Amino acid sequence: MTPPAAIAGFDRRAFLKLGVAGTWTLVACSTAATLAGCSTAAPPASGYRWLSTEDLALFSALLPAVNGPAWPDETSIRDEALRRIDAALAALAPQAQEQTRQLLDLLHWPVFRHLACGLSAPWSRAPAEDIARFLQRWRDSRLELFNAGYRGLAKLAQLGWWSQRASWDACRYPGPPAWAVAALNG
Amino acid sequence: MAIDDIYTQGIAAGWSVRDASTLSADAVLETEVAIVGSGAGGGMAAEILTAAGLNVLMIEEGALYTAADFKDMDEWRGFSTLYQEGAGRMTADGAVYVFQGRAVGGSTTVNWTTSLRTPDPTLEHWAQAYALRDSTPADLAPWFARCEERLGIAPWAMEPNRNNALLRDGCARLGWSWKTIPRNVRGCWNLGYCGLGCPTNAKQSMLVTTIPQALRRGMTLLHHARAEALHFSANGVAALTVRALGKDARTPTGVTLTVKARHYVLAAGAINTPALLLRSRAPDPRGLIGRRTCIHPVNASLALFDEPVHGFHGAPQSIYSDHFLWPAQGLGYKLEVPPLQPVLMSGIFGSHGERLSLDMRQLDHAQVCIALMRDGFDAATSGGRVRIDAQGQPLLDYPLTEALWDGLRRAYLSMAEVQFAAGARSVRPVHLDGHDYRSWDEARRAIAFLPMRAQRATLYTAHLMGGCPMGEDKTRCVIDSRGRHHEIENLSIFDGSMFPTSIGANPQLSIYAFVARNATALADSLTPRRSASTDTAGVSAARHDAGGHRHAEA
Ligand SMILES: Cc1cc2nc3c(=O)[nH]c(=O)nc-3n(C[C@H](O)[C@H](O)[C@H](O)COP(=O)(O)OP(=O)(O)OC[C@H]3O[C@@H](n4cnc5c(N)ncnc54)[C@H](O)[C@@H]3O)c2cc1C
Ligand code: SF4
Repeated sequence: MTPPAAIAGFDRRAFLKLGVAGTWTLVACSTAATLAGCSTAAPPASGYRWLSTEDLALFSALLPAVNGPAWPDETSIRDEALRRIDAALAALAPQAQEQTRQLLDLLHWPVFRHLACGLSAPWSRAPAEDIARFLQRWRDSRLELFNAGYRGLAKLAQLGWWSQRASWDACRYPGPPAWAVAALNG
Repeated sequence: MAIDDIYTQGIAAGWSVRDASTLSADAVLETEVAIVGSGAGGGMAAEILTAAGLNVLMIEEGALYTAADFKDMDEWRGFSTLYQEGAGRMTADGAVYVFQGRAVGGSTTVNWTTSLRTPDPTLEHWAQAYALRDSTPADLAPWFARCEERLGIAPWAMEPNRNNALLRDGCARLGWSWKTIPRNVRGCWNLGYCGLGCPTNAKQSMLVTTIPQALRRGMTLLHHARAEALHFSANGVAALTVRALGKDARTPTGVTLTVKARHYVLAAGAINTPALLLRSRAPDPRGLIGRRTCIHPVNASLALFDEPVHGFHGAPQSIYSDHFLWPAQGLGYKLEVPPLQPVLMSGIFGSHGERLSLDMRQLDHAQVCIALMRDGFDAATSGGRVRIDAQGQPLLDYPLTEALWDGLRRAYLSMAEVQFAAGARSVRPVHLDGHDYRSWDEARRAIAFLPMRAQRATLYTAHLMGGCPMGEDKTRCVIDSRGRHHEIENLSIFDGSMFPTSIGANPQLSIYAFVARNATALADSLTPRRSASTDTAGVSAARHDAGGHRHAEA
């Protein structure tokens, strides 16, 4: 078990431990995950085109962490957000889908989650503060790879919420001009 | 007031509009001209070729959506149905977000209506460095005028929305040049949702102008249909394979169509046109296809104002500044603003958690500037490269060079300066290391030290140009000055991929004018006898009545 103190300087060292020094690519990392027998390759969860059951747990944890107190944490809104994230991923080109798959597989792999994300509990049970710290670390990291991971995850979680009408109050967006909506739909 | 969506009535009146997702058997389709893609280039070409009496088949991978579908002005609906990869396209390394349309009308269905002529220095550069013929400002002036007339292009006459007005005011205060943007609109309601499909048909996109006109003249539009590969014989292109896509406009249904035409026009847009040629192993002795793809890399700066800005409403782009476009040294850039609806803005803030919640509460007070880098004019920024993956799908490598980072840093500075001049309370470069600076002085000092690195700076492009450059210099160009392929007799390229460098202005009007000119030349060469006819409408009507396209079950 890695003591918390070691996790603080997590990113460079974590990668060195994974044996991929030199090639900072998700492909290489994910190969390590596969060799370790920890890769998931799980099928989409029922009712979804892309997200696996594990992915659903991950994004359910990320939605409040990324969107902050504006996130309402209501089941119907969470389900709609997950449905939209699922559709957004299914629309990507094959290479982008593959890379996202590799990133998510890594995030599910306990060793990586522990070392690179600083999370000891699985996503479904990780404390909110730990997830917030993970996001901040990946954002602040000097490694392009982690910055890219941060951006990708944040973008999906943002899309899941701020594309829903229910979010408009929280951003003082009045929606399309009411007169136009009335005129167009009248 | 219900808006006439044009297509419902047109289809009822007998327009030949086919949804390939509903086909159940392979077929061979014969036509005089096949056009791949229905965007700026494909739409303009279709109108001109059908006017000459030619029989045209237009093939579009996206779906057909009309004003009736755009009434909700909803970001999720727009992004997920009208854009390449659900608006999630990126460069291969993920460093630049790539926006392109993917529906009938192509990117013109979602573009922001800015309509600018190709700058004179750009045309001069192309003539000089690529031996582009007959394309001086004077040569092209009548074609620009014709397209402006056709598409209702005129300087925006209403007061700009505040997001744009603040760019204007800041420039005026600093003594920087600025101009009012000409827009391709007729009867615009000034709503601001051009990026999600215009709900009023005011935007004169290809969806509501040239494509309906071509359909009236007997063109067949086949949507949910992806051009897979061209097949070559000794005489040029012999056939085009097309895959029918399912209802999602993504998954192939298994039905394959074989298109046989006298002439083939590629207008699938930069990225997809070069990819189609690469997938088809098109003759390319010098390995030019897909290289030098330019993107006008865009960075952004976010300002907060005490007064509300409401950048989510009103014509999205109505003011620009070219003050920094042609500097004596280094990379030049153009200043504009984007529309500020919530999804786009949640990415621009670049934050998460409590911070993002707070940021989003200030959406109505936000003003955003963007800078578009004029890439491709010298060796220090020579563009990117389109290649294909194992499945033949396009990938764009775009190297972020030192010269580019230098331009981006200067642009962060210019944008902050103009925003403070306009009265901003704070300015934040859209960069992971950007903070809310309280004064121009503070911003200037901080921006000087921003690490200019991929994934730290947030970068976008909505302008894809190049990959099949046009000019007489065969060592550098894939197509000649009329858009005809240098090696392949019956193949033309009529879209954004024809440009030898970036344009230095938003691309649509450059595409319209060059394609209008080049498609007219193509029509003349394909219809030597018919071109004498003064009654082209009568000719095409007669051809249409005679049965239009010949279909043969395979
Ligand atoms: C959000 C946004 C805002 C913009 N704003 C402006 C603006 O204000 N002013 C301006 O001048 N420009 C703007 N642009 C850019 C401008 O719209 C494009 O440069 C222009 O439309 C490109 O024309 P094109 O013919 O090259 O390709 P497109 O218009 O992109 O059309 C290509 C079409 O081909 C289809 N296609 C691709 N591959 C295949 C295939 N294999 N088989 C069949 N079909 C295929 C695509 O689905 C698409 O419909 C904007 C673009 C975007 C995305
Ligand atoms: S601003 Fe004008 S052109 Fe744009 S969507 Fe609204 S009505 Fe259409």
